[in-house]
Amino acid sequence: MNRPALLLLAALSAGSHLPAAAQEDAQDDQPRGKIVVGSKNFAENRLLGELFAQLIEARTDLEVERRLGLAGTEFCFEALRNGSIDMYPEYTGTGLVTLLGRDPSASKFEALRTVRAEFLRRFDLHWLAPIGFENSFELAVRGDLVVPDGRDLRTISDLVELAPDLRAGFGHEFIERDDGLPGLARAYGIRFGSVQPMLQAPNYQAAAAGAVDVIDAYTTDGRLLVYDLVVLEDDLGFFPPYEAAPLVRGDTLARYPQVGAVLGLLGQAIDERRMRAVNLRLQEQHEAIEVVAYDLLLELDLLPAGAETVSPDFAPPTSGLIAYMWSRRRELTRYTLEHMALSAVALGLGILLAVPLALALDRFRTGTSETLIRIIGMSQTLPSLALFGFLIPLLGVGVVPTVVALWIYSVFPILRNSCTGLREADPDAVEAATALGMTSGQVLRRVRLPLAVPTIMAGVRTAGVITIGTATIGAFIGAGGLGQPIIAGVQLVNIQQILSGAIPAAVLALAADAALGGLGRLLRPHGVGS
Amino acid sequence: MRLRGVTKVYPAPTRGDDVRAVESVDLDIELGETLVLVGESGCGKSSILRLINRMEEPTAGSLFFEDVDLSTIAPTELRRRIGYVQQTGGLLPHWSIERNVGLVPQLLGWSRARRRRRARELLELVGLPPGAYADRYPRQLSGGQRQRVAVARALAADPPLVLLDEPFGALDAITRTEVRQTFKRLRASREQTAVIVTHDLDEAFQLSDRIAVMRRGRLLQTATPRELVERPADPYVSELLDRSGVARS
Repeated sequence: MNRPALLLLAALSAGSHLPAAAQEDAQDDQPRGKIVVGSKNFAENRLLGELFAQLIEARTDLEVERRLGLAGTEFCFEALRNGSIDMYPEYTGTGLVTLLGRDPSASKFEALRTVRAEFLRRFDLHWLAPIGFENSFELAVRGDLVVPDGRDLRTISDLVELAPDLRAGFGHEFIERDDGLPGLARAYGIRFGSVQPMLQAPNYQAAAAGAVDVIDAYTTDGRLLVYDLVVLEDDLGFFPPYEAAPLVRGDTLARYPQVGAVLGLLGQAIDERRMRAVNLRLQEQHEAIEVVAYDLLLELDLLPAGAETVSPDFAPPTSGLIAYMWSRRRELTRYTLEHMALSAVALGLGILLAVPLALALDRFRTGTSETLIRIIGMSQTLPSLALFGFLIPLLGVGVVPTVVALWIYSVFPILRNSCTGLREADPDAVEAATALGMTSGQVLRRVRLPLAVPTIMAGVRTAGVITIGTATIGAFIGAGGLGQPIIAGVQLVNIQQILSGAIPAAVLALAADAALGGLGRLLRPHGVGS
Repeated sequence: MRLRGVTKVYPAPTRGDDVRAVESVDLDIELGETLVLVGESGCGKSSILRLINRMEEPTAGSLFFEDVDLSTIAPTELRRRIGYVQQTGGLLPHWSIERNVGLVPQLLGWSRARRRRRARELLELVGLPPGAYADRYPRQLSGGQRQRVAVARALAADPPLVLLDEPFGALDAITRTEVRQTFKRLRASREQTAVIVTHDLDEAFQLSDRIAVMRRGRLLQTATPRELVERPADPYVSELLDRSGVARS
């Protein structure tokens, strides 16, 4: 275990880096150029994003903003196209099949040539030099199937004959995708004795326990190093090539040519074996991505002499949740503040839209306004990722689309309660006010609206709790907030990291519930019961 | 106040026949008199009140107030000149007692000081000393007290006409008698027309100058209590009198 050493390193570098950074900032009056680095939401891609970021920080004077862990390929690609991010790590096969919709059967070189030419022509996006490893689908068999029998089992073709006697444990995605099992079966004419759908992580354990014989794997999965598994060669070249490379905006490269040069240093720098080892540190040892990326740059000798690029808010690995959270208090505080800001702005906008909308709907007959409310209520059922899919082309990634999404979710509970409150305001009082000569406007402003305040505030309270709970989705599209550690923790299977976001989020929701309840009591007109 | 051939038909709530709540009613209400509308529930008596202050519009016929056709007066203008008390008081729960009483004066644009003076004077008259009650809220009062406030509110701007819809109906017997006495005392010194709806003949005999008996939307007889007892114009009127026992007194 090199944890103590790492801890020391992190502490030292943090200590030495801080004043230097402060000094540098103080001297630098010119606004520095800024690069935004994105990544997808799985460990390897995050690590590559962090690697780009640290390398640019170390070798240029550009400022780097990280938007790591965006919710998937489409999100990254949209964010890149509309300029929300300048670059992210992508795989040639994904570019070819998912983004261009081309046939997956291409060689490694064809794939790179095609995506390079097409992305330049259609989107002015540049595929820089591939990093040196592929991360494709693979088939892996239990080591003991190969060795004891002395069978010559090296390729998938070798497996065809044995397959009817074997039990396969495949991921759901692999079973469904055309460049997964269905295509594989066609290409090799292979049929397994049984196919058990399972999640990616448990299928390794199942193989280790002897419960299945064959699993699907990703080329660079670190677990291939620790479990006794043999990766079979795709001798017919069925699986599309998935070479990792930086995908960068053309205008970014034109403005900051040094970025292209620096990222070029990563060309062919990391092979599959090294990437597996790196992924293992993330997957099994739960080390911080910043630390692993820094170590990798050191190993590759890519850091300029004497340069300290370690980001100061490194988390040294610690034991115990409280110690862990304390060690990350600065980030957690920032996430909490971001979370509160996102929720508060969205809730405020929700009130500003929902209450006037309720007043407007009040003019319609009950049936009509009920129908309209029900239509608006459907917004509640939109999955957040679908909503983002629709918002990102319009608004990019980051804070704005997140606030808009939260806003959409917050409107309905407030609207619903406002309409109910206005409609059901003390009918005797409304009758008396009308019969004594108030105009309908006066009845609304002086009687129904004040009497509806407790009901409206109950809606605001509900919306507030919903908004805080939902605001964790902001992390999917780079808006920060407490979803950041939660989502990163899920991807890295790090329970402490998940809890370090989930606990403050829960506390925040409870606090908001209490605070909005208190505000409701404060705003309740005198003389009106609870 | 004159009603001529007034008819009110409500469309059927679901399928079925329309509800004929008021059926060609002719009625003259004399200036300054207290007219009590009696009849069983659903006979159309409350509808008459709501037609007078234009909370409802007649399906047919016309209503005249001081010889002016009601349909030519803006409803809010009209209502500010007509006091109104409903069965459950209808005080605004978020307004203090004093502010409730000053509601119509406020709509008429009285100064704050004048409203306040008037409200306190009326609260005193209905037996709720303003020192103790003016700043309270309706839910801090008993049902009887709330009803007194509602009566005070209806009279606050000295309207020429007051409409009371079962004003004492929701009160227990003892409280009802008290509030009724208060009401009579308030009325005694005024040149003010009042129309009261009740299903309680006892109450009708106590308060009224004249009684109008209604049944199924039709006006059966309008007469002084005495005439009513001596010359009931309809078997239903006799039956009503017999049932309530007032005829014996």
